[in-house]
Amino acid sequence: MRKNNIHVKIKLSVLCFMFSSVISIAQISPQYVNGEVYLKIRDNSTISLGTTTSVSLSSVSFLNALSQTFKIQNITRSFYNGDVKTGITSANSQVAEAALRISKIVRIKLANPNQTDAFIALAKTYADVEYVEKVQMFSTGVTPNDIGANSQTGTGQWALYKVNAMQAWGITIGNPSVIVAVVDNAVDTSHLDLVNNVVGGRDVADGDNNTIPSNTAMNHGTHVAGIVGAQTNNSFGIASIGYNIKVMPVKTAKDTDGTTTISFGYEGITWAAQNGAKVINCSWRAPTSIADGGSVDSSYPTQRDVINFAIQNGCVLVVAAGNDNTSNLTIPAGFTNVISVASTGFTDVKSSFSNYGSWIDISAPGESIYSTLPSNSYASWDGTSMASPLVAGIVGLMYSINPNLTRDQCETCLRNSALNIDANNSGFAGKLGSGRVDAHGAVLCAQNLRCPSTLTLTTSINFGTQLFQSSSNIFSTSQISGNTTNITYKAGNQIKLQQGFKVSNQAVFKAYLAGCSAARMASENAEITEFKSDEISILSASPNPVVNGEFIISYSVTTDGLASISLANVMGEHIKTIVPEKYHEKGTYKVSVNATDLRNGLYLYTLRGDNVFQSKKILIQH
Amino acid sequence: MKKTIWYLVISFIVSCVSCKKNNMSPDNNIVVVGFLQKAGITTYQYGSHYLTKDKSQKEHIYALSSSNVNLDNFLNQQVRVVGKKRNGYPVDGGPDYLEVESIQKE
Repeated sequence: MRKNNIHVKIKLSVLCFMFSSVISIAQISPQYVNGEVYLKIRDNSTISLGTTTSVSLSSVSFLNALSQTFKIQNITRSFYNGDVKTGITSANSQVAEAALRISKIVRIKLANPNQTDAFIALAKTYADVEYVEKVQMFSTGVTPNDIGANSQTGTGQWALYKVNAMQAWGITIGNPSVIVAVVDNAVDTSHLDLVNNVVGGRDVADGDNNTIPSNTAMNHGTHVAGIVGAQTNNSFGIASIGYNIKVMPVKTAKDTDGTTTISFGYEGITWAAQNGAKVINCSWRAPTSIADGGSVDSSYPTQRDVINFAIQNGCVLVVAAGNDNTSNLTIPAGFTNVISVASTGFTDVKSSFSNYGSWIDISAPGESIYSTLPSNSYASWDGTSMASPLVAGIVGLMYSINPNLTRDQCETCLRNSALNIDANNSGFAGKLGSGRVDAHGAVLCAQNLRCPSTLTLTTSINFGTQLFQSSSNIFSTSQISGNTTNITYKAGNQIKLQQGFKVSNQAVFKAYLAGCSAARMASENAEITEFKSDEISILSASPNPVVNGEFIISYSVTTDGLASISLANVMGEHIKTIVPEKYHEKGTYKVSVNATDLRNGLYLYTLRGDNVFQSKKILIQH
Repeated sequence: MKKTIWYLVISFIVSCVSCKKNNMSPDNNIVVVGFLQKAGITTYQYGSHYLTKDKSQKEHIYALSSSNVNLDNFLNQQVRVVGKKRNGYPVDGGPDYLEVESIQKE
């Protein structure tokens, strides 16, 4: 009996561990099984699930009620197996309690995966429900043939193991269209482990396209570049975190400079931002006398403006914190809108040399990092310069899986998925950013924030706050009602409210032409508030783009009433009235628009009426 | 006894060679002569100042910082620096890192 109890206990422990893993990993925005949730019925609930693994809807009153709003396809008791059944009646109260708990977990499959969030929100309101959460999907890893051992010595690439790179590669091995700029002293692009993974760069210091170091001692940028994007799985040299993403070499030291000097770093950032880099890595710093808690933004206006320029161009800047072992801010790492990276070692302890402070965003391995050096050689180096490109490469993977990720979303994903290492770093709690970077968690998070190009919404919604995002179009016939309902649509191109769409007076509905990224083409000003409609409207313009200074707008009004058409810029600022508000009988209309007075660019033309609202884009290209 | 004498002789020779190599002063401080400049942007990322061999050279032979003396008072001068090497450096492809204890114009 004792043996059996131990057996049951071990199995329950494994199950508990598996489940607690699900919970802990769920905090880092993992990938989920579409439309499936785990729901735990309270231990003290009077609801009986019977003695089989299948659960009938009618036997669980609150699920029956939920099924009035959500179509439930299937309910099972995933963990109600032999050992759990036995465990419930165990003489050992701890075993019995643990078995009872997981016996009350049901796995629910919804017919419409788009309703998962709404289902969870409503299910949580029932007293019998202890918790409800999405079902996590585990991804398999990828092990390239040149990753080396999980070792800090020799050719070991322990850092890739530490940050769960292989699991991240199970999601994406990087898109070659994503470019990470290595703005550094020089990069030996002829290195056999780099030559196939670089795009054209620039020597901004000497004003030419040759980024190769003038001598082999000018080797820093080559080491950094290898960490970001050495060719991976080529049975040669090293693997890099970026795998397939491309490195843009930007040389910022003059050929005649010292080998450790950066003379044109900010010119390099600007060049990278203007030439297609999505991520810019800066493994260099200048010291400041500004203490932790202060700000560098006002003291270094040129540098600040350059950083802002790059960010406004859609770049993410990843910057080494510096190797002074101080909390004083450095630049550019100290600027508020860059991702500043401190260095940690094998046991997630701060590297002795690494800077620290409340201005650090995240930490990453930066000791014994094996990477490329000029003349086809390799070596292990220490430094925050090595930690930063590891994060930059991870950001490259994040943009590979989700090109529409915003800079803020990117930073949030990095931070939320990082491993808290405060316990390993007495005296540095809160001074190593959100913790040690986790590539798998960060890439999963980015993946979960992907939004579809077209979203078709048919579900009626009568409670809760929800955001529906699409990079291109939203087509909706939803009926939105209820005084606790707050629904927002964001689409990059078009929001089309089709026949059947209706918003009741109690609900709040907002729509933006902003897409799922912080699209540069549209702003939150293009807001439609408290829109109410139950009618179709049809709106189009031709030609689009407009090249001959004139275009024709066609529009339909399906009920008699007032309607107008106006033109706004992408900031939502009114440019001109095309059709003043006037009474329209039901029918189709055309209006010619003279565009010769409009500057080239993207505009929004909007049909507004008593019962209609539709907004679309038109491009003027004289 | 014979062994002890040999040990002392060898230790003395090793210590003399070591002193010469590192140009150490008797209290294990390092004495370095070079041209002092304020640290700007560097790839190695430590130190408030650095030394080059002389004014015409560009390679950083030592990164410097000091809590004892104001290194700014000796900017762009050939100086003689006495200091201790910081443990854990060099890193990041940089030079040795000295904590300066005293400095004088050369």
